[in-house]
Amino acid sequence: MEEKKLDAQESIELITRMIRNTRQRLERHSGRPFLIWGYTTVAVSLLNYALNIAGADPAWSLSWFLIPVLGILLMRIFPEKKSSEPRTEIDRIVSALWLVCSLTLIPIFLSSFLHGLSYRPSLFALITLVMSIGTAATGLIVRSKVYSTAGFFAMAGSALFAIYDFQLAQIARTAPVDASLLNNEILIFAAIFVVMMVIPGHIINYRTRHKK
Amino acid sequence: MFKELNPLLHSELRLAVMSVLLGVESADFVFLRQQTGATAGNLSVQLDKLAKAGYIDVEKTFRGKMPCTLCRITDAGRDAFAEYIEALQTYIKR
Repeated sequence: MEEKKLDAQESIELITRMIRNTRQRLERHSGRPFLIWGYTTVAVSLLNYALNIAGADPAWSLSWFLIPVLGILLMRIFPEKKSSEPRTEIDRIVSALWLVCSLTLIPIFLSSFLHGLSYRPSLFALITLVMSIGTAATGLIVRSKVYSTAGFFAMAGSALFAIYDFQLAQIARTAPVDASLLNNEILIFAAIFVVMMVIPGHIINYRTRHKK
Repeated sequence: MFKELNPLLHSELRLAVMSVLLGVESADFVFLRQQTGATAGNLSVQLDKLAKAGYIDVEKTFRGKMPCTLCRITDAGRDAFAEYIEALQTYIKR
């Protein structure tokens, strides 16, 4: 490209082309945070499930707080690869969205301290709902069908906790309910995170690798 | 009536740089070279002209151990670009 004078039409074409090229990278390189947070949540959920099945002390439920600790740690251990690609306005919007989602999780986590196990289904549903809103909105912003579909599926999945809780309440009317049935909520929680974050993260990473 | 086109923006490379910077928070020299296909020397000269006009900020920094030149569009640059587009429209409408 030289210091060439342009006519009006050429100027418009050049501006359009440059803006389009800059926006092409929408969903690329976005798999890493989804995989880190997805796998961390699934792993800690399964750990808690195993501890509950084994009849461990209820104090072990504090291990749920490993999710933010491990997540932040892993994000630092596996940072984004240095690249000359710039940070676009879309990157800034997606970061702001996840900042809001993360801040929303703080009162939810704190309420689990105060409420204990009795409100567990609503806490799982709230966390799932917040994360699914973040995922679906990210998908819509970066125009990724993978993320938006996963987010909307997870949003619908958050209703499973209410349905399961209702079913348990129905059973409890006629017969005593085995407390271990409550643990199945953890499995629902983990399964939703696999669908919402782990699978989409792998799909996006696969696509990014094969676009190069 | 034709409006006068800003001569600083009405050149292929400078206009390309401004168009790229408009859509990003900041962009480094390597990225701008990739996007515009310009030579390092030519790009450097044009960036200098845009910076002197106050249309872009140029920051010399490091990415790891590698030197890195970061460019970002200024408010004056955005205004000038908007005026340029406005002037361009008077040519297109005819």
